Amino acid sequence: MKPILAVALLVAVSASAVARAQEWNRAGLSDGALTASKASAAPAPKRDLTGIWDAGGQGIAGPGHESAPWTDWAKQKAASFRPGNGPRAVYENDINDPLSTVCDPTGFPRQVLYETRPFQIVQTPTQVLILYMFEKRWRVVWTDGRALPKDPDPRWYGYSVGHWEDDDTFVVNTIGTDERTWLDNSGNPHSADLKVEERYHRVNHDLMELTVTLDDPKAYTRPWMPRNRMPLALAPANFDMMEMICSPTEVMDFRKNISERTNNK
Amino acid sequence: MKASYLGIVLGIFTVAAIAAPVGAHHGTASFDTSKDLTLKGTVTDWIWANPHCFLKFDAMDETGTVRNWAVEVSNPTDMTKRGWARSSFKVGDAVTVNPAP
Repeated sequence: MKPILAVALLVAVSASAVARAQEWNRAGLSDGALTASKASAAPAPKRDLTGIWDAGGQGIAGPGHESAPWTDWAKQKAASFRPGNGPRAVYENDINDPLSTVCDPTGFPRQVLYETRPFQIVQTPTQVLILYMFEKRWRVVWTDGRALPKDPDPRWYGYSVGHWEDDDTFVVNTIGTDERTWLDNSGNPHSADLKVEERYHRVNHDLMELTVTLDDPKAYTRPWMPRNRMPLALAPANFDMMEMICSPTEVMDFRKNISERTNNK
Repeated sequence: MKASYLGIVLGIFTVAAIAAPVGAHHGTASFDTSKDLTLKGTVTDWIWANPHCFLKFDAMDETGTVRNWAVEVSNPTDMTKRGWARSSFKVGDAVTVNPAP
């Protein structure tokens, strides 16, 4: 009798392990993941950010709509922006956020300042690739030693080069962004002259911190830091990210059923 | 059993409708979150889509007229985190909804 019971139990345990290993369509890590990551004693591997990372609610909600003071150029640029959040928020049917109302690309740096949901980092000998769950977009960060381009044509995601400042800190510099994109959902603008520095600091095996500094003297009176050591937890290797894509078909349906039926005053 | 299921729907819908703007594209300015409203009705559609999911259902308003309501909640990703799914509702389900109109 006893051997049969042992076999039956083993089958049950391995079936459960397979079910976990094949889990699909994950929305994000649990709330406890970041706390657990901070307590990890395992050291960080050197010069390696490979894996899927999630900042939880802090990544989604964004830095809280506080920016450095706007220049006159920024005031003029943002005069037509009607955001859904922050101090200039308007009623739902008046919002003209190009991301949520017509599915323009999130663009950069908005991709790391708002709705920074899980993303995967892949390293090759000459590139660091960042694959974002939100909008299912990706960025290429060149690590082959090239310089940033001179006078580039604007791109939604700009032009990025990266280098290792030390064994645990990867620094990315980006220029050439498209000033049609907003920085966040509160309608902070930026110019095409914007320079962005991202610092990815791997604290231990399971924890990384992201700091983002913006230098855009055309739009802001001083450089500012919308992300300051935002913690990101390493997800399990079998974490299968959901799709989270702005579909024009779905947005039109949403506007017809919800936005256009709300009580604007 | 049916009654307790509806109770859960009511409770979570209250939370979801108010909590949506945490990661949302807009605040709650268009909705009166102080108003207490309970609607009992029948599901006509459950849209599991970005930017936000919404539930459509037929229910009587305070004048006794049956109207088709649309209740906005959060996006599929955040709804998944709260335990909701594309299969949470089907057409014809009886629901009790406690929205912020």
